[in-house]
Amino acid sequence: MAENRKKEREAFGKVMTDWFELPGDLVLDLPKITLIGRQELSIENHRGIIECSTNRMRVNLARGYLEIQGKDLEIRSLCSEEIQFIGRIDQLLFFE
Amino acid sequence: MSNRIADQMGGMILIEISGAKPEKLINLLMSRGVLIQDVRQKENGIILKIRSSALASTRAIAEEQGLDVKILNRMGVPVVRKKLKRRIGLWGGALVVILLLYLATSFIWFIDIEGNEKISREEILQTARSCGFYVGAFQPNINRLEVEGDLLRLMPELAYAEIKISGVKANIKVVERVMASDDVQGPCDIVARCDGVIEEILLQEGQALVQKGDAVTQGQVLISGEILPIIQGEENEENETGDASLSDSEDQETEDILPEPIWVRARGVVKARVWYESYGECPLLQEERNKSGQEESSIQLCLPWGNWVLSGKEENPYADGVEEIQEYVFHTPWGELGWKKRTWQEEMVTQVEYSRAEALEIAKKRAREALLEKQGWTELPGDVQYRTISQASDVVVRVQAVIECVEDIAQAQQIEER
Repeated sequence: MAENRKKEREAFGKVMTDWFELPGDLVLDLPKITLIGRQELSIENHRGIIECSTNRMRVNLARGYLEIQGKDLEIRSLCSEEIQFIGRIDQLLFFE
Repeated sequence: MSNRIADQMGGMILIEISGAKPEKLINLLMSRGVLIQDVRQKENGIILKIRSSALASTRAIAEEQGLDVKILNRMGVPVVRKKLKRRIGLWGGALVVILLLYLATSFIWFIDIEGNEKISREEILQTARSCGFYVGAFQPNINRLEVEGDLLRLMPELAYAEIKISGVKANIKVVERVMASDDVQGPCDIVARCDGVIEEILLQEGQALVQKGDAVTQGQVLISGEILPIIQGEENEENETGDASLSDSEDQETEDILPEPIWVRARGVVKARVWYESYGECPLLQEERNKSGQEESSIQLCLPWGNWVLSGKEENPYADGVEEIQEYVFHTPWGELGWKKRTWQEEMVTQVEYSRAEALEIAKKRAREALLEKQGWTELPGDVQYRTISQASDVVVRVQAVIECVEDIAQAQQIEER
């Protein structure tokens, strides 16, 4: 029931942001992911680190988490607003 | 970029977090606003960089979470500052070395001279020294233009002087003046360079005033550059074949119109017998100073504040001794800087008694040497006649040396000078 309400609220929010042309990352608290080639990745609006290893990184998001698979991965900088990864990125997987 | 500068200024620490779930610590630090960098996984845990100021809070959180924090490295300005403080002697020494190096390169150490042919290097160096330009001179005290001007002023033989200083080496470039020839130009006489008796005269131009066998004195005109033309009347009289019809009135005209003399540059070779004299003496009893072989030396340190003896004696230890000083001193604006080596050699005074014959030989030798030195000869041009001028009772044997030779005594002299 609560899940449905949340989904409805999200759907309404999406319609409203589309209608008023508002940035989704601010209004809906969505992550903003920037990928530069396959060597550098930055994520804004994250919720912290779940797992940190050289082959796999998992980043907590407002809804679900993002899994980064690759080789020689490491976190270049980490603060509450933004997280930056470097290394060879092979896959980005979203999980809810 | 600004973050990187702030990191370096504040100092960074590389730490290793080991234990279960180190990600939890990262999230907690992040939530407290700690900037985390270069997070990498290692065998036992993770390695990350934080600012030095966040170390205490990191340790506290790690302790709460049951994780171990190990400092691997410290970086940034505070670490460098700490190292500098610990090695103050080293840095101070380096600074002193740099200062000394700078000071040492402020002096002239080498002087090269270029372009001199007739003037010796020593002569130029000596003159430059009197102008304040020498090995060991302090460069800021040298005014190149002034020294160049002084060199030209003190050495008229120089037409140009240029000083170039590069580092500790100086180069003096000179151009010698081409001096006017000493040869007499224009009409002149030939005069006697010294007294003598004419042996031979070879006339090339001019009028000979002397002949073989004449005794001449120094400065006497031998060949005149003034040639008096032969007057027609005189010529007729000399020839004794004069025209009997030449009237008295014509004679009168000839006397009135005296032709001008002809001025020429007299030339010729005038060989004369000349004498040169010199004198030599030798006392029968003579004091001689010989080195005994004993020697003492000392080394003195010269500083602008005074001189200190580093080794050896301070004063001459011998009653009779000669002193030799070797200086390695630089003249700085504050005074002398360097060291001096003083060497004293003992001398023994001995009385030497010569027989009259020995003294005569020595006196002759001295007279001969004096003759060579006086005339600037390398060897005598003829036989020397010696004449003893001292009495048999004299304690000093005195000898006069006379040499007779035949040589060209002709010397050109400008006619105006007569």
